[in-house]
Amino acid sequence: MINVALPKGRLGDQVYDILAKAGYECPEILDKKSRKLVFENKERGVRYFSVKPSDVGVYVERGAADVGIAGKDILLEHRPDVYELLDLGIGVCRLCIAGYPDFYDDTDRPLKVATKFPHVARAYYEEKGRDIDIIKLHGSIELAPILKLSDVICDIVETGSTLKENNLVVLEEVEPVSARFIANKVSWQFHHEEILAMKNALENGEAHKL
Amino acid sequence: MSLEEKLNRLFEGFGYQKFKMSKFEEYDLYASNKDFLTSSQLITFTDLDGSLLALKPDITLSIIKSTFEPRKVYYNEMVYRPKDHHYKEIPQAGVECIGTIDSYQEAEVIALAAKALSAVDPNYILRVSDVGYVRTFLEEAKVDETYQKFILEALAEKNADYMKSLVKQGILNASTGEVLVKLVSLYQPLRSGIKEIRGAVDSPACNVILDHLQEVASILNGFDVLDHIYLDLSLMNSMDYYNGLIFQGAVSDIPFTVLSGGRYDRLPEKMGKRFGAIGFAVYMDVVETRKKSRRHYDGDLLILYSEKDSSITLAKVVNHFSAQGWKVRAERIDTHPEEVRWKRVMRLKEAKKEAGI
Repeated sequence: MINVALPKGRLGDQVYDILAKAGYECPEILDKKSRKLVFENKERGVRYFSVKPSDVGVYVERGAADVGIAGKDILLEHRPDVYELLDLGIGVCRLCIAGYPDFYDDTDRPLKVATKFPHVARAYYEEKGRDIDIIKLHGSIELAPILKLSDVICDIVETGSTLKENNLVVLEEVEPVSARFIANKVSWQFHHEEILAMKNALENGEAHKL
Repeated sequence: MSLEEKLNRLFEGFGYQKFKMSKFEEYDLYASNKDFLTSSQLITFTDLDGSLLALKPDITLSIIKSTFEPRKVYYNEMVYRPKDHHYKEIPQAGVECIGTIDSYQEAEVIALAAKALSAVDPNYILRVSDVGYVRTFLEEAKVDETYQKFILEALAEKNADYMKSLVKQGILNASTGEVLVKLVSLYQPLRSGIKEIRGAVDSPACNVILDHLQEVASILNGFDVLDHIYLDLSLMNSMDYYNGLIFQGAVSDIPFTVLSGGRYDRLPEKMGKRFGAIGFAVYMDVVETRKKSRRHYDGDLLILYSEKDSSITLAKVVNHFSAQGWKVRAERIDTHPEEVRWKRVMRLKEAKKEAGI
């Protein structure tokens, strides 16, 4: 039995569709009214559960799930000790530094960076040798520069429309992001065939065309 | 027999002697060998004479420091390291084989690792690699040094898409990329794995490493453990510590690596000693995280009595059950602890009846 951690939301639904088409179906999961958390198809040897996207890495690292689907942004931020077996080519976006178009970096003082991704931001600026002051927020990051809480933000940019509406622009790109198929390192050894079959199904499932 | 006892008996059976050491070690030992520690954070304190001491974060350094001639030792000790932002006392067991390390000695240590894993759980896998293989391959393929680090990282993550993207960007040529993708996915029983990779990489320097692995495989067959040993050349332990053979072990019902080890000649060399070394550690704390809890009760029988009951009868009843191997505890009915879970709870009267006294 392979346990699959799916991220709640659109990305999880997309991945489930590919897996279902490849024969890992579990129709119960589509019943949106159901309050069940775990869905199982004994015949196909697969069990799904939907968790908060940022928790997928934890479930997989600790072996509660053998495999899972997580955004590269989450993997970069939390660095779970897992195998990153496949780039699914969906959920594509960018981790960026954004701010006002006329932003000028005054290097006399630490740069104030508001973000949901403190580790990513720290690593990025450390590489550049820039001293920063991290302001960890949980949402509405765009508000920070408007209220002068921070100089810039480090956040996910998908279409850029939220930035635009708030008169902000992308200043630098930190890392491109997409969904990855990840596996627990021990499960990968003991359920090698099954995990490989699922990886191949995802690879050939035309995920890239979605 | 506890796991610790099983391991001790196993190691002693191959002539390894127990290494006992104090919890304290001179701070200097760690300060001058930082490269060989997983973390530079230590619990330090000043001794009464003013010298600086540390609670040992590692056993191997102490063993090599105090070794002056070939020896085979095993240990069962606590180490003190940061874990999840706090210092933790972590139990560790392991062996070190120090001296002239030839293929036999290497295979013996790997066989011991396999047998140690089998004592944890017979359903185990031990993955073996040689850190020199990928390095040699990258050198021979003349891969840009700035990218070697990223390639090694991607290899350790089994990230084949990264290799493909480097080919797309023109940083790797197609055949080098193809081999790296193969190295990412290669995971086979040791002998067939060696055969497979030999067919894919045409390099005399790489083949020397495979020949050596082949020899070790034959000796492992002699130890009767080869079935559980797999080749995975993407395996990485901390690269600075190890040279040559490395290995990692896992069992089916623990989701983390439970054993890791390898050849580490650089450490004795750095300490000015003229011998090689190979060893491994079993992470006893991880073994304890086993998914299934085996125990559901604190004891077998709780006997409740009141002040009106006869203490002599109570003594006889407790004695009776205890002598039969039960975990039995007597407590006053008005004050007995509620957070302890017992398989059975009886009033003295019932217990007496059951005991047939």
